[in-house]
Amino acid sequence: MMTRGCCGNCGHFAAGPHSLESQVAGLKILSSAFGSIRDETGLCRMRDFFCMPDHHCPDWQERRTADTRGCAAPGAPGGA
Amino acid sequence: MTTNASQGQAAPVPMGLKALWLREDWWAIWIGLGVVVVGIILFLNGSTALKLLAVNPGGLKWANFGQLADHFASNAGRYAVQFLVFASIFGVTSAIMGINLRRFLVGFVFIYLLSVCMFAVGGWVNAAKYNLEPPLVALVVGLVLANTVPLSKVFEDAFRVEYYVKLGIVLLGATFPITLVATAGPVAIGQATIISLLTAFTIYFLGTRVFGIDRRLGAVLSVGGAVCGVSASMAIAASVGAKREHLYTSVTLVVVWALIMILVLPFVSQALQLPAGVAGAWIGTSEFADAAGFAAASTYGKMAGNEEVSIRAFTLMKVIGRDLWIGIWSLVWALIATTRWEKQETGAAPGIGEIWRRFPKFVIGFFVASIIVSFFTQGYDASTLKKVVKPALMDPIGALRGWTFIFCFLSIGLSTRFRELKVVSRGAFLAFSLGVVVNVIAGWLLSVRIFGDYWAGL
Repeated sequence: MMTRGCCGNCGHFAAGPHSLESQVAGLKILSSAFGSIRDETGLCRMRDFFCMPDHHCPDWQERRTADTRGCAAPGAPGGA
Repeated sequence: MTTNASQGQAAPVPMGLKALWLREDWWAIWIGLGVVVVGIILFLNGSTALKLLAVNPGGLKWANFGQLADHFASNAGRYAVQFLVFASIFGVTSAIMGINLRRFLVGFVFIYLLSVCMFAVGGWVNAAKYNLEPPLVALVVGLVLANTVPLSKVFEDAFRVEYYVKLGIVLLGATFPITLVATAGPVAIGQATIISLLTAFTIYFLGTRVFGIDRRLGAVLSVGGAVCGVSASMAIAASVGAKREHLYTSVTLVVVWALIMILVLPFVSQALQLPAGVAGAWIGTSEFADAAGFAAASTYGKMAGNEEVSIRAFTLMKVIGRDLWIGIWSLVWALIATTRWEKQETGAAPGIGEIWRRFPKFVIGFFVASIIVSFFTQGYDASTLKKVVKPALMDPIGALRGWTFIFCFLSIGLSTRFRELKVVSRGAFLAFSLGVVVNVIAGWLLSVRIFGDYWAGL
């Protein structure tokens, strides 16, 4: 389970494929955020760098529910 | 470095089995193997349904529009069914992955109709004379439309370059004897190993030591040039904590150089009069992305009159040889970042499982398709295989693969809007470009001079 402090349930973490493809323009020209090579790589919107759900840092912020900010669990379709 | 384990926290739940229906690699496997199995069942029952479904105007050799119109008039029903099958399969699976179905279907109508036009151009009796190879025409038409016409954003959800090419690669497995993989695989992996190491070290050391770029950027660019472009860059971005701008830089450099090489390598190969297998291996050694490489290899194969061999050599070099390095590089860079570079406060300990997690899973489908068809056909003698099995089973699967590749090549062009690409630093440009030069020259030496006889006899 994801616990407090993991990037995977941090409010700054964006790992949904749509989100990644929109935040890195041109990503889907010769690649895809829906592919298995990406695994669960996501983007930390606070530090603007790539990390994995099991990474963590002191700036962890509680994620609001999907209903309030469009977030979903990492890797879920359309998740932030 | 702190890890979840060291803090006594439970690890996050990985995507696990959900990947089986949320990742396009797995859908490419399910669909590709489904086509192969259904095709075999239909063949055993004497059905010609697969052959009817695999219609396209590419082999018409039409000389006037009347002939072309007659073809579409007499095959309208087949094209309608074909469109419905493609749209249903891609639409439903894309929707399951989270893509808006309505938007996908609108875009797919556009892609399908353009693809019909591309095949029609390729079916013109004088197409070869003017180098109007469908892959090249599709790419150029897509690029022109994307950069001159304000296309609706609604279409974009159907421009799934990677999904189309992955399905094409799985279908390719059905026409790829497993014995060829077994005999040629070691040569391809050996050549790929040399290229992967040489190109990666060239880009990284030139970038960081000579041009002074950030080492995370150096790492991202090195695998982008050495393995499989943006996908490889993204795979190791989390391993080294790369910034978003680093991936942007990789996207720009990979896309620009990949496009240049799609347009240049086939014509240089033609000028050098390279055998199709040799050119395919060279393209597989020098191109970065599978989709771009298939466009170049397919184009040259048509120019040389032996597309199958060109694509086979490319597949051996690129898909079986170089792509398998992704997980290894990801693990290596993660180890370097966490043990040699400064302590990463967000890092987690890398493990050997990284190699499997980053493995391009669709390659499994390629191998399984190859094994299934090789096993199925081994009971037939050469004559029956050539006169009965191939026309009724393998050729239609090959034709369906041709469709997915054209969807892919069109999508590359339609997705590439040059104004959206990021301006990159001089150091990154020079490091990557010199890596490309080394890659192309070393690829030529290996494919033409050292293993030339081998690739020519493929």
